[in-house]
Amino acid sequence: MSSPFNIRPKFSTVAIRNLLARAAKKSGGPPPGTPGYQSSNITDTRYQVIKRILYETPKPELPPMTEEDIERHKTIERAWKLFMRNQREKRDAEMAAKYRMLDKANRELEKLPSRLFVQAQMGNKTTLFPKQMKVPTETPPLKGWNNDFKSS
Amino acid sequence: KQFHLYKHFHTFSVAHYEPHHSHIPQKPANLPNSLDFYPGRSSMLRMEEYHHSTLADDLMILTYRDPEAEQKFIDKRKKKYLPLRKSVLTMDTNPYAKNRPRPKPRGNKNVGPVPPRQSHRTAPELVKIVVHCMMKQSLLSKQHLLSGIMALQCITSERPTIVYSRTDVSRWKLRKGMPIGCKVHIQGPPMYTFLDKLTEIVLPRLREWQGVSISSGDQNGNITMGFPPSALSLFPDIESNYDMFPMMTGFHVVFHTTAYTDYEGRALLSGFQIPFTPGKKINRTF
Repeated sequence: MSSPFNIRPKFSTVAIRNLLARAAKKSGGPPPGTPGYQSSNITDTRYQVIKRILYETPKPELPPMTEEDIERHKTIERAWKLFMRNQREKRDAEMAAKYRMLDKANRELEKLPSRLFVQAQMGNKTTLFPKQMKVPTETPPLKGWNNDFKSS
Repeated sequence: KQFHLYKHFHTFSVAHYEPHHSHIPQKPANLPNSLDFYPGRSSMLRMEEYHHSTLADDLMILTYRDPEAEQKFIDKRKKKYLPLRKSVLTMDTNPYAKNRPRPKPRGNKNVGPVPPRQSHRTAPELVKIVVHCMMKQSLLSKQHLLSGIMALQCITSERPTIVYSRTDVSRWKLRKGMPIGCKVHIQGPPMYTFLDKLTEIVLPRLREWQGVSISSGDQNGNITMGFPPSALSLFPDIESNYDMFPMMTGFHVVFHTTAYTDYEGRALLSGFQIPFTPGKKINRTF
């Protein structure tokens, strides 16, 4: 995944915005009322500016790296990857244990004469997560807790 | 003066060995002093953490099938994608056929996936999102594509690729090979940030929109939804620079999941707070 926009380009975002703003003002053409007006204006100067931004931004000046810098970078990368791998493996082991218990419990249940739970499992239900289930955020909401909430 | 020894030096012909089929080509480690360098995630991914902490467990339980139901499901899928030769039907028991790729089905049909035996890893996960934008105005002038490319790049933070037409339609003055739109595939951190923006900012502000159609899906767990041009202006990346976009276009978003049924794919996406319209009851396919 390449993202050349992570490194700061020569054109700053402020400079680009000014360029585009000027181009937007300049794009005249016939007003919407006239008979020959086209909703998508071909002579829009903004297109030239966008083309310049997308395909003709100058190559960024890349930072010079010494051998020590490279070693440092590689060590950090490896440490991070190791950390992520440990997290992933821990998660995997937890899930495996949970699955084993789930499977074991279900098999035990099947042996029982009444298959009520399995019938419930195979019922025609559209099971979706609740619509108002909030994905946790780092900070609490600005408006606080809504006591007068009603699910429409 | 000593070089005359090398006059009759034969260039050895090195035997070219094909890489083994199990060799996974590794991407070379990119360093910051190269343009290709991707620094990795720059912040906590709220949606990913939520999936791992909350959704994964619940989805494992929701998508669990008892052994009988599992066998029925796999057999049904195998039957749908029947193989060309009858000998393939005994492939699972034939020890010589182990690790062979599954042959094509008969009848010139598309090959469809047959789900594996369930385990703790077969709970559905979101793999990638594809954002696709088709611009009819690009038939008049190719520069209208630029607006779409810039818009998708702003939304997803990845550079889109151009989509070319595959057929001729004289009615619309369309010829084969004309650039007609743009698409971008996003995985990992950009995908989760895009999903976050979508569910927190864009979807709540869509006008007269009740939710994704409950019948949406490609029968294999990948759900698609479409947006009108007004939705583009709701993204914070575009809202701030609204005047700089010459053309507002609608777009499609495809959620690619590891689910093998639409039901499971929908369950996963509803966990990420994507609402579905309460249509007619869709049976859980076993």
